[in-house]
Amino acid sequence: MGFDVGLALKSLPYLLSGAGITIGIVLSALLVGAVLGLLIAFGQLFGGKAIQRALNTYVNFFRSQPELLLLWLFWLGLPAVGIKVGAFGAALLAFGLRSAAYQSQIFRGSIQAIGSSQLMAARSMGLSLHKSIVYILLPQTLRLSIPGFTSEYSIVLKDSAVAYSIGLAELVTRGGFIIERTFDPTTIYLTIAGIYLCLTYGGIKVLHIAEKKFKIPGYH
Amino acid sequence: MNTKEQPDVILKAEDIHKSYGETKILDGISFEVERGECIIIAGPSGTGKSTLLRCINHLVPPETGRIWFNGKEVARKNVNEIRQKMSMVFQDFALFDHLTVLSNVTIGLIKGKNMDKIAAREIASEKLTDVGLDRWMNVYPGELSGGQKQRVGIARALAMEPELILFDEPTSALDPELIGEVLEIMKKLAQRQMTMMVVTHEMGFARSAGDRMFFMEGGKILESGPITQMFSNPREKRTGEFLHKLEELYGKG
Repeated sequence: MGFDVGLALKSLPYLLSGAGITIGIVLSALLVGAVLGLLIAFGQLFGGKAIQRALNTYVNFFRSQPELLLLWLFWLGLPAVGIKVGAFGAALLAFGLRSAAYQSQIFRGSIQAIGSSQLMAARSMGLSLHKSIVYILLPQTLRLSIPGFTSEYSIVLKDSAVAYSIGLAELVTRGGFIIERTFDPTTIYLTIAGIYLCLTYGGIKVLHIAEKKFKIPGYH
Repeated sequence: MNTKEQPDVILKAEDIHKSYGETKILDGISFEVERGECIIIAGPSGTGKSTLLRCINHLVPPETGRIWFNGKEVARKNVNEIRQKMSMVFQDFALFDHLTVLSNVTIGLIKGKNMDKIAAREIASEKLTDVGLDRWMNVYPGELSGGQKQRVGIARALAMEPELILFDEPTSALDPELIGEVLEIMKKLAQRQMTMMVVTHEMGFARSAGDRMFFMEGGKILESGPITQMFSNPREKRTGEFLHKLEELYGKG
């Protein structure tokens, strides 16, 4: 069975709206991951012993579990204790909390790359730790983290396909629906592969542009 | 009341101790600095000179011992307030890479002293003119030479209108031909009676701008005294040996 161009074109609108859901879940998860990841990174570096230990445990837990298992835990586990989250909510929690663990380590590396003397300089002028983080460390951390974040984007994007297993109507799930009716997996999966390629390439391109735009002059 | 005869002590330290793990860095340091003095701190590396400066403004809190600045004891609760009157200049410049030269100088005023942007800008451009960098205000630190970077570091310190500036080996990361431009500015400050504590190996600068020297070794101030006496007639043999060696290496300036 070859590639059926007619079927691909006919399926495209339905698949693209699935891609919209994929993008929605991926961007939300990355946002959750970025906010929590930053808090974790700064907590790991500047928090007290107890905070550091709790954060290390968090990071180790979420990095040690298969994504599929995390997804099922949130999808089946939360309703079992009376919390209703829905498929999107479960996926957002699983992907977002997991990404937070990975992103925190991207941010931690960036903060450490800035070096301690800038922080010392900020503190030496009487800025509080909080202000030193917000005005000195954070703007540089975000810039230095764009390359790492770019690869995190491409990973979360493709991993989001496991949401298929809980029936979230994203790209792969929708492809499955079409295949059930048309029995043409080759055409549909190739079309989906093309869409993933565009999303990955497009996202990487955008982040590369951001990296250039926010580059600090004279800084290598 | 005979306050006139009392020396005007700006900084006083009493029995400062500091260790990193098992290693004792500062082993009972006490001294006084009078307003307007330029103190040179010299001694072999690893003797705690930089740590001493950092203990003074509690960037590295001392384990035991007390420090008074303008008669007020430096403590955790007033440290941010005190640091605004006690600036620091760093060996590796420690400029904020993501900020322009101007913003490097204004940020302490705007975010630390809550000054409005226009007033801060005015002070910053005055201090940058002082160090000869008024035409470089809108470039980033990465675009400057080492000597220019350190001049920004000094302008940033001056903008806080400090009563004391701590210099932590300000020229030791610079190429020889860039050292002069930084030392010239520091000499000018000493002439204007800025109170300074300078960790340095530049003995030429020490002779021309310093008032007193602390010679440190093994976490202690081994000897202190007026600069000329420290060079010509030190009490400790070790002081003489070390200073002589420095002059051999770096010249008399």
